[in-house]
Order: sequence, then structure tokens, then C-alpha cells
Amino acid sequence: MSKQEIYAWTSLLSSISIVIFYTVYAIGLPENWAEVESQLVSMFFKIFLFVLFIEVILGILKNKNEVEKDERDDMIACKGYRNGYHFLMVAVVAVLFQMIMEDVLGFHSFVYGSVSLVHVLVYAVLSASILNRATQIFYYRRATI
Amino acid sequence: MPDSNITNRIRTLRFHANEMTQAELAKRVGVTRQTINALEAAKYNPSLELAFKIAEVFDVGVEEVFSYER
Repeated sequence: MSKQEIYAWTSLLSSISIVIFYTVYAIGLPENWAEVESQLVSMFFKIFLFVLFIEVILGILKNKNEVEKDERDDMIACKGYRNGYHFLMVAVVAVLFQMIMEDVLGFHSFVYGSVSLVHVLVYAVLSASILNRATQIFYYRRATI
Repeated sequence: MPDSNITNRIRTLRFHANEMTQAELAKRVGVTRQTINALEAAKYNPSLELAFKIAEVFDVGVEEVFSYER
């Protein structure tokens, strides 16, 4: 496994842990989920520390003679960013579209009010980040480029 | 099974070059060992520059390393 692939995995894990953290503290869980809230927060910190540990270790083990990133890594990164960017654009346009629908037709969707809008946009950004890293991992693991 | 129409003889050429390792070839052409592995498995088509560098290492023409099959 190359270092860039390890970075893709650690970034994916950190994005997932941020989603968990955001869901627990910004949105909150249903009342009957109160028991798992502490477990989710604990999982967030564990994942975050694990990712930090891996990245510090990789930084320490950096070998000056070893190539860390090459043209294949760049190409895979491009594919990941492309998918993430497309997803984000579709999400933003969908949010804008439903806002227009709200103004024109008076139709209220689930993205109602500025607070919900912020939550949806934060989730869109985090999902785009997850999609970006997942795409990269897919190309590292299976696909032909 | 390779998904690309481009095939290569890197593994054979490494064998004839005194069993050169993937890591050694990667170091000489300036890429990671994983990229050489992906090339040999026909999972990655290299840039022209990398193709010429690999051919140069084995002291052969690029058409002797890579070939295109329709």
C-alpha cells in the first residue's frame, strides 16, 4: 500500500469521524438514541487519534530517497476530485433549486430555513470529501486507469 | 484479465535484467513500486515520459516494452 493510499484511507476515516461529531453535536440524535451518543463521541475521538497517529508515523518514517507521489497518484487524485466536485455541484444546485421552488411555489421541502440549509451544505461538503477519498481508494484497490 | 489494449513486457525485461526488482526499477524511473506493479498487471497505462524512461532503463526501444493490440 502506497503512502498516498494510506493518506486516502486516513482522510476518509477523519471525514467519517467529523460526520459523526457534527451529527451528534450540531443536529443531535433522536431521544431514544441517547445511550449510543457517548459511544459515538468516543468513536469519533478514537478514529481521530488513530488517524493522527498514522499520519505522524508516516511523517517520521519519511524517506528522502523514496518517491512518495508519482503520476499515477496525481491521476487518481484528479479522478477523486472530479467525482467529489460533481457531487458537490449537484448538491448545491439542488439546494438552490428547492429554495427557488420555496419562493415561487411556496413549497417547503426538508431544507427549510437557514439553519437547515447550513446543515445540508455542511453534509454536502463532507459527503463530497468522503466520495473523493472513496473514489481514490477504489482506483488504488481495483480499477484500471 | 487486463482491461487495456496496451500490453507490456516489463516483467520479462526485468527477468532478463538480472531479476531487477520492482523497487529498483521504480527508483530508476522515479515512481513508486506500486505504480510498477500496476503497470505489470496492466492496470495502469503510463505517460509517454514514463514509457520512454522504462525503455531507457532496459536499453531497448519503447515499442519493445509496450505494444498496442486492437
